[in-house]
Amino acid sequence: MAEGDSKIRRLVRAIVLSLPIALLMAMMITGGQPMPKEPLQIVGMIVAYVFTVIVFFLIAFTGRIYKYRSVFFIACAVAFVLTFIPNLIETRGSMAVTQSDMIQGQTPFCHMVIPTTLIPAALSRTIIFPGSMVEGFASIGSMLVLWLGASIALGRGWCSWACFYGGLDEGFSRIGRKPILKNISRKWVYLPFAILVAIMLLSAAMLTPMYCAWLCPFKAVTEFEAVTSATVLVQTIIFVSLFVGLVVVGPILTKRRTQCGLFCPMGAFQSFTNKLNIFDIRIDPDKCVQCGRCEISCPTFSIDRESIRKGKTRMTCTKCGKCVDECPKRAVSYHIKGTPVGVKPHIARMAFVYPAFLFLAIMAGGMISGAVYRILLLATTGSMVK
Amino acid sequence: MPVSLGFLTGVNVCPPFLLAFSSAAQLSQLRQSLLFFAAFFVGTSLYIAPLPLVGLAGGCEKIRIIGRLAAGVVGLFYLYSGTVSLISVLH
Repeated sequence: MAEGDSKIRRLVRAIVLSLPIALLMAMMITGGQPMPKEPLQIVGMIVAYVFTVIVFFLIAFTGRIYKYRSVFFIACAVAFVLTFIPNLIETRGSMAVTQSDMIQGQTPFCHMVIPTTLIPAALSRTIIFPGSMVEGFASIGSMLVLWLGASIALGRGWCSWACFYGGLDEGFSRIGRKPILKNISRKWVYLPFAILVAIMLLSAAMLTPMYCAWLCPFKAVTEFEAVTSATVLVQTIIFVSLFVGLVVVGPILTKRRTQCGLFCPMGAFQSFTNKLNIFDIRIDPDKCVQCGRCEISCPTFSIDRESIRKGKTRMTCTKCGKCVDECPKRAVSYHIKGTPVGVKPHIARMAFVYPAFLFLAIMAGGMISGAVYRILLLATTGSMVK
Repeated sequence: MPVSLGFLTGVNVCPPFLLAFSSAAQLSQLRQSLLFFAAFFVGTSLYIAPLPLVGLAGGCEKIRIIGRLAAGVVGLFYLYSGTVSLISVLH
């Protein structure tokens, strides 16, 4: 929203901007399939469609990105869990993945694995993951294409506009009014890069996706290896502890995304794509009054005194828009690289938010629709699984 | 310490070394054998030749921190692996 716009003008602009989203979502919500015959599924689709269009309309009308994106992002993460787990139970009978499932390549591939597969793929021309290259609902090929496209378009914006795990710690970070833990040593912001280096080297040495096997906290809400040995038991204790510590307790205590900002190696890897992406967040030194609200509010520890002095965020910025919303002087804005800072920032903001939201909406639409369906199924039949 | 650790790593008898050793033993002259080994070591050092340049990155404080933390993470993993192996051997 440009400064000085009348309410009517903003309303008309928001409607005009929302129309293509409404049309595209109408096409995409069905996922290219014919309309389902089951009434509960149709209700799920309608709820997801209306919710998506309303959220985008509010972003376009108010200009507040973080506030509404966050609601949608959290809903997406919760919906992902609510659809993924029943789907696993329907297809495999359990959240636990067995050795037999892995040998048959029936493990869904997620983007968190990507960094660990690169060196082994270069050395051995093999993807070290027990999944399928093209088959199934989360094949290696489809996830790689999805990630590559989103990375070019969004950079590390992936972590706030596409990652279906990020909404979980964002959700917990919004519980409570004030942070209890405030002073976190800046050295810890380098831990994701250290874990990235460690898991890439160890995965190459062991030819095993080490992050999935040992560290991924999100196994607690998706799938995990059936406990059949002492090693798997230790791995289970580690991932459950990491989930509780980094996705639940850490965000509540700090009001930040501690998993994303202090641990996630995929996030660290994704930070490098920010260098290629044309969008960034800039701080206009002429408007900035050094109040530090952007630094305090940044969910992923991507703004510090040094970055404020330089007028930009750290390379770990996820472009979530919180600093843009929080700045009382409108000194922080979305920016297209190569253009003057602070000149018509609403154009850069919409140029980023439009494709970013569309990507999130297309991905989340099916998840939210599926989650509503599962909840309705639970309410009507007493079970989320058919 | 680095020299002794390097020596201990180097005295591992690897298959390419064995092949080179047997080929050198078949040569009739000492000079030919020395030349053969010199060429062998130059060839096998190509992969690690750029490694000393990594030291230049140590000038960056951020990379030093990442390096230390990564060493800690890898160390923890090998500590666990070693402990498990030790226990299984003892049992």
